[in-house]
Amino acid sequence: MDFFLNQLLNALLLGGIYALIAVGYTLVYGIVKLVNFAHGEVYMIGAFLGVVAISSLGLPFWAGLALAVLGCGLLGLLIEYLAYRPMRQAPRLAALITAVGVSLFLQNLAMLVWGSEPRAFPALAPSGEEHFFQRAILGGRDGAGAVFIPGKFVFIWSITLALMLLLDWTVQRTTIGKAMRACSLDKGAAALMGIDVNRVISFTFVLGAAMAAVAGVSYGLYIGSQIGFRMGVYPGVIAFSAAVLGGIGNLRGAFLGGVIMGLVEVGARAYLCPWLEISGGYSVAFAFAILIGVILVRPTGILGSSAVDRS
Amino acid sequence: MRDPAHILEAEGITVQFGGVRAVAGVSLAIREGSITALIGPNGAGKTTFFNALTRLVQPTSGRLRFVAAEGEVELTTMPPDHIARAGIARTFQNIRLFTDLSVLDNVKVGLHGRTRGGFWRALAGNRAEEQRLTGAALEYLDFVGLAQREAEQSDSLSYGEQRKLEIARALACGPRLLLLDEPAAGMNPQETQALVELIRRIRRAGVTILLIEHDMKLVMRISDFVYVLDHGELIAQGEPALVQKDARVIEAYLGPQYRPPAGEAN
Amino acid sequence: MSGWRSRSAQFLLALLLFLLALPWLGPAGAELLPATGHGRLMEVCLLILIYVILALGLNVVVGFTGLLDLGYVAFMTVGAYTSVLLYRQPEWQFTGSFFVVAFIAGLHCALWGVLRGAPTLRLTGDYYAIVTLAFAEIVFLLVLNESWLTGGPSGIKGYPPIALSYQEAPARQVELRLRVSPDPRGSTPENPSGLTAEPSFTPQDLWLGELSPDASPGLRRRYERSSPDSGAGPELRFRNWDGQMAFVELEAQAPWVVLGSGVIDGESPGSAVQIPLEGREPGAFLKPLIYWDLALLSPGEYRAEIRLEPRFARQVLKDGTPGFFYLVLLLALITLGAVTLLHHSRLGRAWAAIKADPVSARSCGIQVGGEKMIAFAFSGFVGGVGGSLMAFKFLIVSTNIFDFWSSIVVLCCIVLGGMGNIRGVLIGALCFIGLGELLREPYLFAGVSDSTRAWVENSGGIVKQILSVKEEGVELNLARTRYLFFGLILVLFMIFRPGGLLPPGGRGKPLLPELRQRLTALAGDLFHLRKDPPGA
Repeated sequence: MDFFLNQLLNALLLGGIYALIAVGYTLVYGIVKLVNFAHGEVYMIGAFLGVVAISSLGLPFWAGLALAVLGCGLLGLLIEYLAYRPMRQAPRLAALITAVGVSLFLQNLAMLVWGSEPRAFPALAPSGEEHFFQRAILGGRDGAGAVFIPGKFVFIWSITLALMLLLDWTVQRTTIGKAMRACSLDKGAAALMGIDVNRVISFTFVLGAAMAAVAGVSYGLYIGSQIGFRMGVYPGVIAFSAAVLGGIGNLRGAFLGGVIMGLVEVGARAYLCPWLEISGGYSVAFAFAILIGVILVRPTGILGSSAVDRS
Repeated sequence: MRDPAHILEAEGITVQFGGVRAVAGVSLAIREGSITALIGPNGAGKTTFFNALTRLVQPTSGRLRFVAAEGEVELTTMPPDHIARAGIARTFQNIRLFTDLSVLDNVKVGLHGRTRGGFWRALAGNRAEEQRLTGAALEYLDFVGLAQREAEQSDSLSYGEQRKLEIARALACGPRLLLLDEPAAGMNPQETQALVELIRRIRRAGVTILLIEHDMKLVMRISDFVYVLDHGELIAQGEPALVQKDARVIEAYLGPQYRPPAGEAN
Repeated sequence: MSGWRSRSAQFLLALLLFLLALPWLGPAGAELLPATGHGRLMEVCLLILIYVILALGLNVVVGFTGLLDLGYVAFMTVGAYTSVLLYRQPEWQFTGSFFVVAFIAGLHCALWGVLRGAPTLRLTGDYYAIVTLAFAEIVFLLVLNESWLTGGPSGIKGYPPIALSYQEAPARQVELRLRVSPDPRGSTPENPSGLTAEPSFTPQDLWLGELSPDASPGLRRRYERSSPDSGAGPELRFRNWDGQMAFVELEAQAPWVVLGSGVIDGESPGSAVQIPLEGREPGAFLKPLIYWDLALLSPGEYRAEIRLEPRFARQVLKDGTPGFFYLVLLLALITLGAVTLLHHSRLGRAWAAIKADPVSARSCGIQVGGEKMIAFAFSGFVGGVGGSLMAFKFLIVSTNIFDFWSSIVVLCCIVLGGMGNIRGVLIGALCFIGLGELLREPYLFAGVSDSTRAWVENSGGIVKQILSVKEEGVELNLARTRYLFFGLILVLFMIFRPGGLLPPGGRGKPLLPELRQRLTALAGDLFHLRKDPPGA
């Protein structure tokens, strides 16, 4: 039972991370109809910025997180402005290739700057905040025979959930959110209504990048090691699959999809792979298999509309 | 078919997108060899009806019977490429040419459904067939008056010429029924006149024509029969002169407040 | 076929003539190019030719049909491993077998190309891109984990290079007798079975490497080098190893390949026949052919009969030989011809129509799904053949050679060429691979001051990755940054020069004025000197 619970927590944690990344994909796709291949690299850079801030600069955790978020937000802004904006009128294929180019560039830039050896995320002593969460949410149960949920898990999940709710509220209730939804439906009409479409698009990118930064730092906190320049590749594809699974363009769908992907991957690694007697590395393959299954059966995803785009 | 003179019969065609009924229960019939016009204010569902005809959009209900060369077929269950091969070709409201291809190649693509030759024949060179195709395509270009421009890139043509090219491509499909979606849009009076002559030539060649148009003069001049759509429904049908004076039609275009002066038509 | 008389066509023709003459330039023009320079030049040209093949194959899907394939390496990998796994087995080494093997590898990949693309036929290109990526990752995982088949991360090496034909040596029938008798010393720690084995072969002469009388002098010369004295030909040996197992071994080193079959008399327990062998490179270790487990035998006589068919490989095509170079050149020309024919056919027009506007393509009677599948199959086939060539160039296949970046490199060749434009693909491959290889070469800055040296020594990060201190000076090595440049090139070309280096019909805008215009606009935006219309 302990094993199961442990795996469940792992799965939810990983799912939360995937959800944060998937949100970036789905928001960007919704508004500019582009798969931002460089998004996985933003996540990776977020993790690195966290490492640098906490290890090299000696900043406390919250400051490190803030630095990562700011840095990635700026990065997202730059990517959109320099690489994607010129391609807005270009054919889709060209825009996709540009995205791939940016992804390649960022990966190798990270490799040059931070080296090709993976690093460890600095281990953090449980801070006051963690204890607070632990006690407040669990009622302080961590004695023998009771459920022990690691502080890290609670900590990360609190941040993830809070951000998700904040994001959902932003998109549904605020003016900028309404502008985002308008732009994703019809940019031309939105412009005619007086919305500054460029600013909305930039904002969307910044938002997605910020989420990815939090995901990167969370991953560092959670796994603690393997912060390397290639760490964004698999999560990038998995998170995109999550976004497709939940319905591309749909924010809640991305969240749902991310959690499902986390469950699938951990479940595969913990149960399915040993049962099938194949290596645990194949757990990622199951996530991809789900992607292909979704595309075959319901391309618009779980929460997406059922109209198929025929154009 | 209820009437052997008809080449197309639509019965109760409805196209529903979520909560919106773009086309609601439209029934019409096209006589073979005629020029029929489908008119109505913007957003009436005319292009959607065309899309339903060519199955780019799935009708939610209704039937579409068409007299193809091999016999009567039901269009609502055919995939779009089969419909093209069965004998219905179309042009588009905003011109959709193949931008990377030359003028000649655009027309040759139209011939695709009537020719054979896949991978293996391509590797073998297929010279004789290619020459035959070039000849046939040139004929279609000549028919619309673009024969001199065959080697140019299709996007270097003027707007009017691009429309003609699109029509040539559609004709190359060898259709029995040609759907023209606003062919006169953006044309000046001379171009419109040339278009009228072209449409008549097409009819003389034995092709039935169904066209969507906003240019009323054009509609009145060449159509044998007119259908009027508004808000997805058929509100009037008949010969052009009669439809012109129909109160409902006038109301649909100009609004309920307008009353035409006595004896005057649009 | 417009433009084949143009300057770039003449350039390509000159290039072709150069390539045809290249292998002979070394010995002939020894003053012009030093030996190592010539070798390197040939290697670079060979690599360019292989990438030309790959790029032409990928171009059919990306350039002609307009779908982004991010996982082309999957075909290269599957093709390479398929051809190696087949070819390394002696039954698959016969005259012309490489072409059969490469063809099968190509078909295998064509099949996967179709299967991979089938789910995405009705969806937009973004889905296809992601599926190709996922598929490539799955292939990567399989190759990495299924070591029994693929050798895992270290891959497969030691398989024989391409041999165009084989010279058969006479087949030999050998009879083995094994007389097992009790060891006079009885059961000892070194010999627990307490038995000895005494073999005898009939006929006595165990050297199997004979050539037929009509073998050519060149072949004889090569054969001399694998005589019994040099110990490099097929030879049967008996070995009694630690008193437990009795082995009869066959040593056969490349270019020898031995096929055979054997029969062991009776159901003697603990024995086995292990034919066929795999042909191996010189320096291979011995492999047991037949063995008996003495612990399971009783005193007596055991018989076995073996029939061996040795073959000697002629015309070995290895990396660096003119033969291999011409083979690759030939395949490149064939691919070029095929792709050009396809481009100007009904099929090619259908692909272009699908790329330009799938909706109106359908309205013209094109079966979009079916034509896409043909593109997938063809592109997969070419990828498989290209992968096979790579396998036999490097004579090793592993995940290090076939990684994600390989897909991107091929894609870059196409992008530089302007996508869809065949001539552009050729020039793109030439420039791109040339650039890549150029970036690999270290450049030495001689006579550098000490303070600069010290600065390089003490720096970290990027500086450390590209500069290193040598005795003669400071060396700049951009090899690590290659992919950085590739990514940058992709982005810059897509933004400024989507038509590639040489757009068709000379439609590219002059690069420098346009660059200046864009930068001015950028500056204007940044400093609010110019207001962009919203949503533009």
